[in-house]
Amino acid sequence: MGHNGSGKTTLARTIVGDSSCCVQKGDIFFGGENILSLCPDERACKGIFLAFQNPPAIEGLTVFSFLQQVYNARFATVIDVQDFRNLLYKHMDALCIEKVFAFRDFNTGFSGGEKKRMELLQLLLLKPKLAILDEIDSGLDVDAQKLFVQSILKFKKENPSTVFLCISHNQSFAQKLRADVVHIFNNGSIVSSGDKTFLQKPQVGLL
Amino acid sequence: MSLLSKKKKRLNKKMVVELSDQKNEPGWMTDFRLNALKIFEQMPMPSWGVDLLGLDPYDITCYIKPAEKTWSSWQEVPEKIKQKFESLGVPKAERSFLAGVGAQYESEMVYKNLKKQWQDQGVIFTDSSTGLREHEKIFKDYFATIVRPDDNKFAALNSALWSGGSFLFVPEGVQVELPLQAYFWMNTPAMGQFERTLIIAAPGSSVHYVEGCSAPVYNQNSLHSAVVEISALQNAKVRYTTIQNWSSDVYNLVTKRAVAKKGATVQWVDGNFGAKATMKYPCIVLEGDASKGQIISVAVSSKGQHQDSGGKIIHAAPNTTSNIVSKTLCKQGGKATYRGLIKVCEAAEHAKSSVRCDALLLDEQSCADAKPKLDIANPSAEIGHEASVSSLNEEQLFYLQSRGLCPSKARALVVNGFIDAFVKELPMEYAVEINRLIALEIDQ
Repeated sequence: MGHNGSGKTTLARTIVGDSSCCVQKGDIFFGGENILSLCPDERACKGIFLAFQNPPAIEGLTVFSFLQQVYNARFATVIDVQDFRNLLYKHMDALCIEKVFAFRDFNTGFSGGEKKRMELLQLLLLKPKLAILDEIDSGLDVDAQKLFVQSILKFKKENPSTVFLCISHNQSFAQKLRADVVHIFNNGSIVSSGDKTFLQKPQVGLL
Repeated sequence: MSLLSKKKKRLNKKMVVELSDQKNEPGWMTDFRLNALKIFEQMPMPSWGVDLLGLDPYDITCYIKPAEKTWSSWQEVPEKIKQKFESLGVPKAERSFLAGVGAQYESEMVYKNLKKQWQDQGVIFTDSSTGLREHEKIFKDYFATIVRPDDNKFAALNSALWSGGSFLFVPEGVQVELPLQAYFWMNTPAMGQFERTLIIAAPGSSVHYVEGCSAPVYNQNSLHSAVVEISALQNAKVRYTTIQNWSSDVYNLVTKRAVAKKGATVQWVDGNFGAKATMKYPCIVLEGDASKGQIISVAVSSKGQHQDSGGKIIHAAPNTTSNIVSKTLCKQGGKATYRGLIKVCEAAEHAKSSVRCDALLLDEQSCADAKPKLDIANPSAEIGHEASVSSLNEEQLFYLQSRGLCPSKARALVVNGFIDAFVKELPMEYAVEINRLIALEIDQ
């Protein structure tokens, strides 16, 4: 958690490998391996995933086709179209996304909430080892927020080895996600940390 | 052919007469050609569009193909060309033809069977010279009625020298199910140069005509100047799909025009790859009430190339609707111009038109511009126009890569998405080839 502009998103994008975020000092280790020199796609294939704060739209690329290709890349496989359709529809159902969305252009003309659903959908499909959720709750209505919390908790339960790094401005969202550790970010550094009880303490007013 | 040896000769009357004689044409056609030659000589070179300074249209070596440039077998085709075909996955039989091998086309039998099917329906589908010889009356009724020789300098040149191209007549009420593909008889390499295509769709008929191919045509000619005329009579539907990929030294200067009568629909689907310079603006004249026109085009411009293309729609009757979608890709310093016209005549009450032209620049050396023109003489018209020029979006690429896609795949997805509006109008096999071609182009 932290103020706008404190560097949360920059940190997230740096971990994923955004080339516009230049690492001047230090390394990034993932599963014991230094991944600093790896490209974003190589990092993704190791199981690092970022749910973007503002995911872009890609005209002319259907959700179905996009997700199928991404799935194949992530797991270095070629999934049967029928199998993929079943898998996709199952996850779409779980996130209350209507099937027609599968054949619309990715994020093109989607509302803020719909775009966030696309991010969450990819989390479920790609089963990353590290899931960074950058303000996945922003712009969601109350019902959607509830659905998101439930889906993430369910995913966590089914994939206990996945580590989550959630960026949020919303204390109650963070509480509902049952964060194990809370870090407060300011000016590019972690200024204080604590366990889940930390969220109820007065220093959170800092946000 | 005696013409081939006289390389230094300038285009002249005698050559036109010889050409007409060789084809055993009726006198009116010889006269037509000679008149067109006169018009060609009188008209100035276009002062707009692409740079034509490198082109001398009187130099007959620019369009009479030296005989030694054909290859008699696949083995003789240069390695570079072979590789390109291999990487595109073009079927062997087609490759030979495309590379200019004068051998018999293997699909001859397939073609014959199809031909029988069409004939049973009364469809006439043949090359234009045969069309003139065997169906002179109907040919004469429609020939050069839509694109007259004095339309522009290169239409005049084509009128004087036309050879090859397709003649297609679809009788009243006949629906041709499969797309008619024109390359079956294009087995003489020089023929693609001044082709003259004439399509007549009788009332209530429908047809999809497909021409060209996504693989590069290695033609030694430096000038390609075709004329295509389409008459869509009452309630007829005609769709004309072209994909052309010329080698990088060709001037591609083409006039394509259609007239849609009452309730008729005409669609041009036009893909332009390769060539040194292209000037091509498919046009639809909506002459009848409630007729419809659509032009969907894509142009890819690479190093040293200028694609000057677009579309023109003339609304000349009430309740007519039209739609233009133009997608342009520029890379490695390629240049592209969208040039479009929407004209609504005074008589065209309640005309509706929407135009969308987008350009995508793959690097900083490339450039694109749009020159749309609206000429609206009736205030009831509803016209929408959108234009955009953008570069490859870094955020989109980063996003796709962060999902595990390698950089070239990420680029291909964005670029293919950009031209998707075009690709989804193509028959399946062409769509697949285009996607592959685009992937190859942007990987270079």
